[in-house]
Amino acid sequence: MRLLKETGIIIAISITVALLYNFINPKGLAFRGDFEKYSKETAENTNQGDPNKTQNTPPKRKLNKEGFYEPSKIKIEYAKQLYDKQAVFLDARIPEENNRGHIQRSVSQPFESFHKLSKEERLVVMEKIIKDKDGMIVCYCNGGECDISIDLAYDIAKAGYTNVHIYLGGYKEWEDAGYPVEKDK
Amino acid sequence: MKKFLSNKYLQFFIRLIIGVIFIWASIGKILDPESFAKAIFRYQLLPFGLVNILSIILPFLEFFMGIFLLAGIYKKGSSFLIIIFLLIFTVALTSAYARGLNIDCGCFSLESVSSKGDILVAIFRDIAMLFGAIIVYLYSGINKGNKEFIIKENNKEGE
Repeated sequence: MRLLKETGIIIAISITVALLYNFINPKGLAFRGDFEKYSKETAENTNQGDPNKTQNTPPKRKLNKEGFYEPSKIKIEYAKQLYDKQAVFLDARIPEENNRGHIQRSVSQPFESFHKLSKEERLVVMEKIIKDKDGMIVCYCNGGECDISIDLAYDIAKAGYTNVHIYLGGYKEWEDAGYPVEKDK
Repeated sequence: MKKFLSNKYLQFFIRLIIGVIFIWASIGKILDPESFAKAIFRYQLLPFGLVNILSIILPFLEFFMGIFLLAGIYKKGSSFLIIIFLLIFTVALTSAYARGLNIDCGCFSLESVSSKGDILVAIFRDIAMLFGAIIVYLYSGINKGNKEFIIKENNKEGE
């Protein structure tokens, strides 16, 4: 009985203060979270399973709860394999950056302009690049801090493409590795 | 053994350590509830609808459990709650470890992504605190409030 009273008091105080604080706090949370954002950042920050395995073997494609195939993060070794298998590489950076240098054969598809399009318009744009919805697509940007490749990959996946990958190492890592690049003069 | 475990200095020492750890752990989460919500989300254990509510309330529960335990008010209640919470944390961490999730434990700072090794450390840390909390729960207040009990115990030992 004493235990029940003590735990009850502690819980009641905590919940009351928590709710009050959350109400006052400008950074307070809504009771229901923005889970699309969470899951996107989860894909960014976590790598399920052994990261060494995902380099060389195709990650399993999984239809997620929101009804699209989650893009997978890949490392340089697997990116190169996909490149050799004629996967479509999409450069998410702005055209100026793309002109300064990009992965050979890659298509410039700046995230900024792509994101402004409606879902239908995105499909039209994408179908010009690759018709096959299950075709291999690899998105990249500069690497390091940039994350527009992730955003672009999610937009494309949501448009109905099922085999989208994100090459996080990006252009810099690719160039440093001595893999084929093109530079406009 | 019981005499040793109910020693008031040992009791205070355990309460001090666990209390400070709980308070310290709660501060970061209280200051940045969104990061904590993401950390919970990444465990992929809870229904989506509960993630945010839990990340609003849990840090304050931790905070007050720590405060009560440290202050020595409601020792039974606070140590009991801490035992329950540590059990839940340990199960969650173990399940994340078993599933091979490389996630931020969400225990203290909420920035980094932990390696599997970090999760193991967190599991052991929780288990160690669990033992401490059980000692507080079972043996606190024996010295002070329950003299008859001590006399009985002493008699038993004498027999």
